[in-house]
Amino acid sequence: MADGPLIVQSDRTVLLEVAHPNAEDARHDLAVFAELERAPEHIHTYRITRLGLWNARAAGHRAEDMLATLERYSKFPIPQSVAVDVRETVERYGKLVITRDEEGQLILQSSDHAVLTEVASAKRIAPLLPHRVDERTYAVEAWARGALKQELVKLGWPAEDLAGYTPGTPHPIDLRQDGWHLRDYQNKAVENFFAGGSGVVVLPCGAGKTLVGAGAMATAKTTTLILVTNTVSARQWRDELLRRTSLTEEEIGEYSGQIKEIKPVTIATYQILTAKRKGQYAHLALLDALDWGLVVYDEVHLLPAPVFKLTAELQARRRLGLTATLVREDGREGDVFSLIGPKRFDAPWKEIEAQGFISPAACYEVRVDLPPSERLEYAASADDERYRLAATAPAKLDVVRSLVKRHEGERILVIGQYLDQIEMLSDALDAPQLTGATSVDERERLFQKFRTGEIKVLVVSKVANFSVDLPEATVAIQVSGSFGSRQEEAQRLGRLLRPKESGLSANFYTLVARDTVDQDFAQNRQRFLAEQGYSYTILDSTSLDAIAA
Amino acid sequence: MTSTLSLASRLATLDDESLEALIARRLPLRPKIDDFFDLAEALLDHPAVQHALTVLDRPALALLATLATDGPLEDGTDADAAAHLEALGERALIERTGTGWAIYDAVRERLLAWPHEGLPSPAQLLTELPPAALAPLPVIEGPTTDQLASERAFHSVTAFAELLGELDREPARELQKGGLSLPDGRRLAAAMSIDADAVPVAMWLSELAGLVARDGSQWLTTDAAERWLGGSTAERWRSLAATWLEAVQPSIRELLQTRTHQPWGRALHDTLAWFYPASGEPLRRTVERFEASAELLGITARELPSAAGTALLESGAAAAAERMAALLPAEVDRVYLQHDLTVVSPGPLMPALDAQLRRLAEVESRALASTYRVTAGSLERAIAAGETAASIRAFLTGVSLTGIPQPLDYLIDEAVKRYGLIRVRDNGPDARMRTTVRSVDAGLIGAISVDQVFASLGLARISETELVTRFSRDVVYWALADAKYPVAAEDTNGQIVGVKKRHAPPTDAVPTIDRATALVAHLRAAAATEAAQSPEAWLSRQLETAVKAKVPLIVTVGMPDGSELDFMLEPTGVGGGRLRGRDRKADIERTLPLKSIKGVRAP
Repeated sequence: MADGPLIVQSDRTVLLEVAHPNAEDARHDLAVFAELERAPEHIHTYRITRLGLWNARAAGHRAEDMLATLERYSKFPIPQSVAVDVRETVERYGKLVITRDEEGQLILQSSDHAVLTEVASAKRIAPLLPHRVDERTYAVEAWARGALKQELVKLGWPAEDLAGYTPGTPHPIDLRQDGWHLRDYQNKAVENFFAGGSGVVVLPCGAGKTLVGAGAMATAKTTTLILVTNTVSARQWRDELLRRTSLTEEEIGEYSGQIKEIKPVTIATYQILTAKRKGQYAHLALLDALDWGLVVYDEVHLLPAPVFKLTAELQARRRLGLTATLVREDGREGDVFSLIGPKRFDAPWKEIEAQGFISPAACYEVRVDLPPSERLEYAASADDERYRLAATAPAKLDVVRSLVKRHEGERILVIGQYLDQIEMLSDALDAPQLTGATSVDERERLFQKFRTGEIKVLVVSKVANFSVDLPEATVAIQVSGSFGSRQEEAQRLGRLLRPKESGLSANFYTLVARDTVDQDFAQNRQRFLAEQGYSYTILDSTSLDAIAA
Repeated sequence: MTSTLSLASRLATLDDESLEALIARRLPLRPKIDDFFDLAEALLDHPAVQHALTVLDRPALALLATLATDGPLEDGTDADAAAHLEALGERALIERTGTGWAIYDAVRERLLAWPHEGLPSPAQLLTELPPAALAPLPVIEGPTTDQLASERAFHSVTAFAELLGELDREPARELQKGGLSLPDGRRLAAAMSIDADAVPVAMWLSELAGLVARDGSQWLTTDAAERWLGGSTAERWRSLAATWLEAVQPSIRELLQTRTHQPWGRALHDTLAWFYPASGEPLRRTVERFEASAELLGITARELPSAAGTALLESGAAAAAERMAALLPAEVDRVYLQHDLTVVSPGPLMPALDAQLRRLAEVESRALASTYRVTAGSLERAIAAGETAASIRAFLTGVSLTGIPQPLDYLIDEAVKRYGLIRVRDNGPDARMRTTVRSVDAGLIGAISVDQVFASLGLARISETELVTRFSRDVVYWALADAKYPVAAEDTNGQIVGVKKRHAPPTDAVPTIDRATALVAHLRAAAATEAAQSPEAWLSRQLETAVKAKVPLIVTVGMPDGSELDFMLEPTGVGGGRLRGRDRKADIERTLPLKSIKGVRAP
């Protein structure tokens, strides 16, 4: 298409002109094989990566289809290097297949003799293949299914895993859809997951990933191990499963630092799984405690590295990864692909937002002028002290007060990095605080009160960042926070992205001390949030009245 | 015949221009040369002769082979041959006789030695046929080649623009031994988004196109570069393609014109190796360079001439550019401004707009669609260059498809408000108060005076709103700017001036003195001195040369009665004002006083 909405660049990025009449169709087709990298309001950037292409291939798409998509919507001719690359990369997937022979032994097969010989002679793969069966087949060590897939991805020859799964011990699980039902995309995610075997479902915060997990469990109807990031999140999973499925308290166990129960559905934390005693993983037995038919990995992008190693040995069990993003800060996306499985479902944030399931947040950066005395103190201090001084500037307190007042009646999270600042904010706002020192029970109690509205304002430290549902928060005020990590920003905004029953739109404020390092970090934040498609407004603390209420 | 002698005499009669051309072309090394005899010797030295022969093509070599084996050639009617002979003469490989041309002994000896070195013998030079030309490709995948070629053309034109921009920001350093310094090479490769290997090719072409020039060891852009940058993609490509065409030796160009539908690469190399049998490494390098640059520009794609490349060879740059223009992506004149402060042009931005946008934004990526980013720094630069909030807004509003997003609007206001709040001024030579830092905002001055970062500047507060230091204005300026203070630099008169982080040398290139020019000047000076001081010096040099070469000479001697007499002598020595030599005819040893010798010439 001449004058289409896409511009395909030779560095394998693809730009999408959002305002173009065909943009939606193009986006839909493009998302099959390209990863959305940035989505500021007018031009979205996608990247065609090897993993993206293999994910698409795993879902049954051919290189011709992908190139046809590019050609159909592209404004300029597709750079030849891209066309060649796409074809070559896609063809690599499935050249190798891991399956079982008639006796049920694992084998690696390929119709391409050269490829098979090449990979079999690789230094790190040879030990995994004890002998050659015939021209097209190698035997695979029984324990090496995961390791082999990992190494093959590294070599650029991802194998299709058709070796099947143990069914697990059957256990009756049903969804209790009274007054609610799985949304279409959640159903579709479950469906795709089972069609594909194992793999990852990508959904934004607030789009109901837990329900996708519950849906998968109700389909598998088997003993299930759920791995989550922390205890609070474990309890939220338990509550949600009790509410949405036929499971009872007797059937759900928690395996964490506090409690160690093993039940047909067991929720364990990554932390306990990776805990070591005398240099050994102390809780590995959990993985084989029951004949799990399904393993669910919550927040797969945060999966700690040791868990990959353990997962490599769990390849005979069906695995479901849930996450808001496939991007890992440590760059181990390839391990997620080979060990959990290819992406099975992906819904762009904005699309789900447009369906009304999550409310959009408006982002504001409030520039706070430091009074002369603070300014002098800042200037006179050494580099390593400056960030802390800027972040904890007392001048921010008045701005927090005025914002809290402005949003009176709404539920407000005030987020800080430094304990003394949290202390001060808590005193000044007469609001309870929640930090790493708060016990799990106390945390749960506070979150519960916040949900019911008994508490309106909660001052939290970093602990609130991960995997906690606070669906009623409509305002977050970030006073200080560590910086530069995209993940943290996503989490923070995720707090506010949960579906709102109140119908209020969400507001995210960050307070920034003007002309300090604080402002430099804020620049990254602005960039990231805008790239995620959020509106972003910069305000002066002196003109807060300008904020649209 | 003494080649050296006759060549020296001939050299003495050449004008400066011909001499310079000869020296530049023939003497790659720098032998010590004090007079025309030295020069003649250097030119006929074996390595120098071999060097001259390696660049000759087969028709020229065949003529030399004839001269070497059959003796002098009479002037003929073949115009091609005449032109070749003339050229060989200009290279001082042969010389005119009364009615034709004769080869210098040293050249003949070299040529006859070739078979021992694996090079063609005179007989082979005269008879060997060229390698069979490959049959033209049956069906050439035109559109694919052309599409790839147009991609390359677009990419390289963009890359050359980036190269010039980068050199403008910071010149690149040429190493003494030749080639760019490693960091500069990498920097330019990064700016151009090309492989580091391609940078020298790009520099070579840019220099030929007059877009860059060297000032001492620094590569700088030229005025022509600015004009070039103002052209459209097709116009820019046209000028690069024309430069390329001119850079290809005429004989190779002719060869290429016969191969517009055949792949270059190996087959071309074989033909060229036949055509330039002694060329070896240097030719291979030259060919590699023009092939690499042809690929870079899309004159060829994967060794096949593109439609535009064919047009270039057959009908010239204008026709080629027309072909290429049809395949280049259409330029756009509108951009998207986004909340994350990026500016995205959904296609190649018109050069004039691109240049204007670059004044107020950094380029983040250059491709079909380019991304720019507005930063506080880029705006400050624009304001320093005379832009105002109004002019920036007017420009952005004009090119934006979507208005100006609030964060960008805020940033513009902020930049304008902050700009120049702090001024650093050059106070001239007073060592203790070389630079003043002042601001209307005493708070800012207070903050700077206690700021740890500036401790090393030794700033002293002389009033509420003024600080002084012994450091230079530029050092102070960059220290403040790096620490994000809103600083502007002033000259001694209080005028705001831009400060470059590293001083680029002045752009008006100082011409480097050419080696050949210097040598010619030296020769002329030496000749003038010799002639003035002693008219016999020239004669003496001639005779010394003949003694050294042990070749016979015709010596004209003035007799006491005023008549002149020629002797055919084989000189054996010069000394004490006399020439000793063996008279072959009389078979006696003669001793002639130098002052009675009127002249000498080769027999």
